[in-house]
Amino acid sequence: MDLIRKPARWLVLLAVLGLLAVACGGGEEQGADPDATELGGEATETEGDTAQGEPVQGGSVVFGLEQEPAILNPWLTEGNLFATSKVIATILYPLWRITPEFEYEPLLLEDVPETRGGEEGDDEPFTVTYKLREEANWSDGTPISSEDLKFTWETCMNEDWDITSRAGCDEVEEVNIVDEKTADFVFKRPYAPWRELFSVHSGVVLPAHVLEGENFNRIWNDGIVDADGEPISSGPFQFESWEKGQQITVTRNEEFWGEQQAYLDEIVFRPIEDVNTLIQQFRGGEVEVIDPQPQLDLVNQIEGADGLEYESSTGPQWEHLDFNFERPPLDKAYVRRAIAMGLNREQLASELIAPIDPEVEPLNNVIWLTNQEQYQDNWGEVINYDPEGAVQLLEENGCTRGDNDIFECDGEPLEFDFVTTSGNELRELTFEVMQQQLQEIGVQITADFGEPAVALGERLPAQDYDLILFAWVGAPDPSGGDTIWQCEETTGDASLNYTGYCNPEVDELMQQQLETVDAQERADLYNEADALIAQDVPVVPLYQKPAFQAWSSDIVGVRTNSTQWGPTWNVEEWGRTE
Amino acid sequence: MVTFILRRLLFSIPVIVLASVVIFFGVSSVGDPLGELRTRPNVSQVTLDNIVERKALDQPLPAQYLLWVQEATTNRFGTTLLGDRPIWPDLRRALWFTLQLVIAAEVLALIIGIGLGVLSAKRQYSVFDYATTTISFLGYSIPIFWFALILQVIFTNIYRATGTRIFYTAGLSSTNPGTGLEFFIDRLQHLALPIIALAYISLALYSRYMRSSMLEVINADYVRTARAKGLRETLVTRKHAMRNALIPIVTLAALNFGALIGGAIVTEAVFSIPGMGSYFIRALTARDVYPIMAFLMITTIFIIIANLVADILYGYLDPRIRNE
Repeated sequence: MDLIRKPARWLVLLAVLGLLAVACGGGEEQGADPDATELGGEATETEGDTAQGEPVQGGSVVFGLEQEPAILNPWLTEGNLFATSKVIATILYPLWRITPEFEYEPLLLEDVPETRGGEEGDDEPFTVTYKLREEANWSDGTPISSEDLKFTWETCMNEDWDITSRAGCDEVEEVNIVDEKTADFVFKRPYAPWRELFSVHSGVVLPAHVLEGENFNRIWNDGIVDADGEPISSGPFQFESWEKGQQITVTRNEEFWGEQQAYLDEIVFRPIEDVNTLIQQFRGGEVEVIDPQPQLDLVNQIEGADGLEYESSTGPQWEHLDFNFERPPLDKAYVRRAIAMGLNREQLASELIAPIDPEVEPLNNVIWLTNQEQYQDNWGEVINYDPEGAVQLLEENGCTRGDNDIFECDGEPLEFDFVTTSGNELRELTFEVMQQQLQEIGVQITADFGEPAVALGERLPAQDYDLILFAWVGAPDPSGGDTIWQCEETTGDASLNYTGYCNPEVDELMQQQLETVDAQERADLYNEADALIAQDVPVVPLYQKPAFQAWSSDIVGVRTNSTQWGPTWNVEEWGRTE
Repeated sequence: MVTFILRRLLFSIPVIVLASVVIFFGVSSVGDPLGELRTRPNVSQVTLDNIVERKALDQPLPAQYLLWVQEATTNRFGTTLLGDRPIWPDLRRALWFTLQLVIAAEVLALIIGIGLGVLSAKRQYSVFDYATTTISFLGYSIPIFWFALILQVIFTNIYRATGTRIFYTAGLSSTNPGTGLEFFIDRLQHLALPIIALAYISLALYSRYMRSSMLEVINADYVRTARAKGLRETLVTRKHAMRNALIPIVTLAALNFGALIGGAIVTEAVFSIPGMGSYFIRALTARDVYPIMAFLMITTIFIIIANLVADILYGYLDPRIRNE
């Protein structure tokens, strides 16, 4: 017996040592790194990012990507990943840059373009005059010219190429060259979201002198290069190499036209698909800048860790619960409204999101985001948390509560399938909280989680759900989401309307807004539509998900940008302090 | 011996052909390869028509099968569905990385596993035996993704505490790994953790089987005779007992190796190794049938090769088999 106890003792010792090693990960000195949150258009900087001294010339930074790009060409379907645009943001520029404050900033443009025509009584069609900066050059010295703009538009419209989206391009009737740096884009009709054109990385300006005559579906698959394999760029860095499966390297563009030349010699992008691995890599200094999807314990692991900084901000992705109009009794407005009133969005936000983004608040508008100045609270009163009011509403409309405490309306029990993506801790918790909240008002929901490709890729467009929880990504110009609220018959193939919602008055307003170039008028039209949508409650907007970025303390200049421009938006300001 | 090998090789060919038929018709039966693409609004009819022409998708299945076999054998598995990009360079690279990982893990697992098994058998019911048993069962029941994460956390903490880097937590190499010996050591430091993770599980398996196999053999009459003849114990163990005990291990190792080539998916995902596992997942996510079929064929071929090697080793280890 004694002999047996001895090995057991050794094993226990081993186990304890192992556990100690693991536990030591959490108990490090409190560095008390403050986090900064951006709201209301104001960006507040963390103490950590610029206070630590001046960046030195040179050095390299390793960036952890959440997946490896399939191809590098950002215009093509296969290149339409956020990971791809993070790399491209360092190499190729669109006309505009979207700032963390959700504003369009002229980048390749000299100034905000002038528009003319398209008004009532005008005989000229709506025209935008783009004037490029004098100093803007490609990395081989060729000026970025109006020819490039025209070529970019033509490439967009070319049916031979597998372009992700021609929206915007297809609103342009023709492009006229005025001079070397100026081009007139003549639109078919007044197009309010014209600023969106060539504002993100799926719309970068293309070098005509390099791509003319080349196979656009192939040439930029494995690198942003010309036909001879030489790199071409309009940004602070240029393509250097891509070791498939391992890393993409970009090096400083010595001929960059911008005032601020990059400090760093190179940036290396490494794809790490598993988020737990990404965290360990970050803690161990194997990657130095990351922008993972924030989950609850993520912040805990980085907070208080020596040598690591982070910043969270209210992002443009907004979470919402959708109702399927084709599943009675969800086609009844009072049922939808009652469910909305039974949900305590404040509680959800404070339990699930506040640990990451303390400034989070419930979203009360499905067009504008809380950080935009056009934001107006149109939903608060309609769907405020009022479980007694919800029960009352149901009873007023003839619903009866059964023995199992579940309501029945019009012969249909309020028992619903709750679809969302699996493998997402925040969503699983959201379901659990909602299930509890809805239980109180006599509504039962059952979990039906699936892989994103199935839940969102197949079931959502097929309207194969009762309730579905997912997120839309907002943008400075909300027109990308117009078709969500319009009747399917109106928008046809382009429709993003997966609920079956249809209100002709809303359609009217959407049409109007699209052709209203005046920003204030347009914002008002949008808010009018939003107020109408609120009355119908086709969805329950929850809150904006936080964007999260973390970096090593040796690096300065890193700032969050939760828009589509992403974390590498100001990469020429990044530098090392040693 | 030679005829034995030749016979086995010849037999492999119809197996590969049969496998190709099953793979092709199996994957094709899942649905229209263009199904997902058709739902995307921006993919033009022109693009779709081009693909149909390229891959002869309007032909009956048997004709498509023959075309695919032709592409596979003469054009290294051809190109992908949407981007028309060659399949073989990516697949070959993935295979090379997975081979590095799996071969190292298998060799380590075999050496340690067999060693532990033999020693456990010789010292049955000793402290050593019980310790090995516990560790083996632990290894066999640990979920690999959890074990991998623990390894990563441990070595990251060691780095943060001491500043010395023993092993890296993911990837194949550092950003500037150097050349020659420096490169080799850097690669080892990167592959160490995934190798440990994979090896631990295989090792658990091998040590258990080896132990029970050895126990059977050690108590056999011929071993007692060998000892009675006056042979050294080590010679008895090595030349007589082990050689016979190894036979079931050979099957196990062959099957395990074949499975790992296509199946170390979780390990590769956690450690960011761009090998066969991640290649497969990526092809599945993209719903692209051609890389999927190429992957399945390669995996099948490796399993067949592994079994072939197992058969040959059998023949070497057990003369009764090679003379059948």
